[in-house]
Amino acid sequence: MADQQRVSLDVVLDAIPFPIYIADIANFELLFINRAMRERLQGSSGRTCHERVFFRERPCEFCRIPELLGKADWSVFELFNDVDDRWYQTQEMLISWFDGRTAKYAIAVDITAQKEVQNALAEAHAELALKNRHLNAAIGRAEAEARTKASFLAVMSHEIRTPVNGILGMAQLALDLAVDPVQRRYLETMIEVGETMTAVLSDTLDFSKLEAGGVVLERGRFDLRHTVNTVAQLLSSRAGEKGLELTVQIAPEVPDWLVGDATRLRQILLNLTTNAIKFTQAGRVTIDVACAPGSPRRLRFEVIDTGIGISEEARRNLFQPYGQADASISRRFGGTGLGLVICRELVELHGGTIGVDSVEGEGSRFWFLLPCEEAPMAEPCSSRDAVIAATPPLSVLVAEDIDLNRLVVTALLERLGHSVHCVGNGQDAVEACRAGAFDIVLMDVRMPVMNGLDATRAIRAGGGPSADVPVIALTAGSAADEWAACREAGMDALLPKPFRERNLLDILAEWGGRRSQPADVAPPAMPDATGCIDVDTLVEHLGLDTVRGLADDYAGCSRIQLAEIATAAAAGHGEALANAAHGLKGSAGFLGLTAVTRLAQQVEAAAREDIGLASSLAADLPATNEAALSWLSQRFQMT
Amino acid sequence: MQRLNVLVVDDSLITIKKVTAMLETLGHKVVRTALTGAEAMVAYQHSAPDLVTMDITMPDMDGIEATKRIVNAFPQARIIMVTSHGQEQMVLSALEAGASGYVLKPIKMEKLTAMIAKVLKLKPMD
Repeated sequence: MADQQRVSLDVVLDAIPFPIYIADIANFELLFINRAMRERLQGSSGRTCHERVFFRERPCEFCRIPELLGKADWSVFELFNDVDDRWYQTQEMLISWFDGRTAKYAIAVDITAQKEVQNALAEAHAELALKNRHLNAAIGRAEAEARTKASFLAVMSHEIRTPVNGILGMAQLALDLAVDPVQRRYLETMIEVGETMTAVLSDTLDFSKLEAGGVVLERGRFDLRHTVNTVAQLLSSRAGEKGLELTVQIAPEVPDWLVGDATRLRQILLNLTTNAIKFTQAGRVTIDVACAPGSPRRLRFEVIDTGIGISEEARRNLFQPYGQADASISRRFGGTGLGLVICRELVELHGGTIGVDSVEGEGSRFWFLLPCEEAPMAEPCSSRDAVIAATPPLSVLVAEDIDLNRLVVTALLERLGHSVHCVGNGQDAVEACRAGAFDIVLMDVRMPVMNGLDATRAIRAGGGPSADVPVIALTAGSAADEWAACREAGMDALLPKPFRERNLLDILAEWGGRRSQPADVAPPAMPDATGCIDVDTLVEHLGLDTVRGLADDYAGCSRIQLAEIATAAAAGHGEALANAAHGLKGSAGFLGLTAVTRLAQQVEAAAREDIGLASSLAADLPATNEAALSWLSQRFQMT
Repeated sequence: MQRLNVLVVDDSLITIKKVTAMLETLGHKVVRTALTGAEAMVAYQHSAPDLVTMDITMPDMDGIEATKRIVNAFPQARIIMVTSHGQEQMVLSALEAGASGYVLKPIKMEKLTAMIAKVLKLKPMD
């Protein structure tokens, strides 16, 4: 009976044109193979399925028996067989063999033809993904290059603006003294031309900083009506000269005090209003402020003129860089053509939108929408004379490397009755503080030999009468960007350059005669936020010679690490860059080189996100490290 | 035609034999072979090949992890995945790991030739 059954099973299974085998699941012994399988396996030998079917000495790594156990159903899967290079759809199920052994029944259907279509699709998909990756890499490089160029432009405009400010300051001081009307006219013309130049430079600087992604909005309370009216006051004489009426309309529901960046808002309004006056020959220019219809948390600013208007075609390029509506316009009216681009970028940085409606020959309406945040009530503001009267004569140390700036600050201070001692770099400032006592230090942040940050740290660490003198940072960078570094170095306040007399007065009134707040400065023995150890603590614990040796080692090893960083940055390899930066961060932190540590930390963080940004940050590392090395060598000669 | 030194990584000796034969027909030289991802790491360091063919499913570190580690240590490494896995997720993780090409089994001479030519034109990690 059993014999009869087995024969009929043979016949049934042999008639199926797909390969079938049945194997014992305990020892993989082949119990049955059908005719289709026998034909496939000519020439193979062995007793088990892995030997005979799959040409393997050991059970197959893809064997599904463990999965089949505990399931009473078919298991269906696709399998690539590297023996015959073909794809199979395999169906397997556990069955009970005649002698009671548990066996695996497997039937395989050749699906190579279908699989080829699927594989071609998958390969095309891979190719697309690769192309995408190349494209992103290329975009990343292009963007990094654009940012580098923008940063260069920003640095250059800044470098030019600094001496121009010096020239203007001196001209202003000379004008105060001049009595001869011809001399006065020359000086006035000089100031006027210089101011135009500063405006062009400011546009270039702002634009390139925006392009480089280096603008951070400040958040302070400000009087909106005052801010808008200042714009009108500043431009009223220019409007008057052309016979234009310049008016301000602010809707009553607009709040008085807001939180935001008043300087940037004023800049946008100044740009738009200056343009409006420039392009209007007769009629009116109106600045209109109202709550945006339907959304009280947004303000709508409009600058409306009765000027020449802008054609629809020109409107399209208006907010694009170098897109002055007509190239001849820049010759007729002057300007960089960057004003509207800066406005657009600033508005967008605020999360707002900007646009223009215009009819040629009738006028234009430039508008922008800004999110607004109302500030709680106002504070009183004292008059200039009251501030001067409230400030006692002070002994002031001015550390500023640019001669002209130094002269300007000195002249301003002396005119107010203060005594001034000047130095040209941070190192001399440290020496001066060692030698005498000052009521306040005005410290440029960027100086040769030793920068203002390191000098402040050295003054704070040096002990003596000047260790807790208030140090005010003079900086031409964006205040919000630099404040954290100044604060961390132990500076008390920040005076952005170029500053007006009033800014200086307020600082002197606030800080003159006070001492720096030690609570604001990280205690020397405590590791700070960047993980730096204070070098004095190190000397105290390890001895001067050991630390000097460490500093020597650092000089050598940091240059190697910088070379690694440069290589990784050039290769665009984020992970390697992050690792190299991490190494430098560690060794610099050990010697308390905060600037290097922080920059390396930024590079490390950026390398994992944005290789372009990381590379451009890394470009600053060699200079920062050299400054730190020179500080180290000076530090150890001094001790 | 540039003669390349190639490292062939696959846990199946049969595949290694086939890939080697194809590469040699194309005029390249298989300088090392490896049966696991971990072996591949060591083999790469020792042989510094111009090209790697890499299987995905392998014991002792899979091909994606091995690719990640090799590219990390040697950013200039050129690795072609030679695999039976055609699922989108697998393709993407291999490319994310740093693979420069993807060939599905069965390996055909013309596919391999075209892929090698394509990969040679790339800058590393491009």
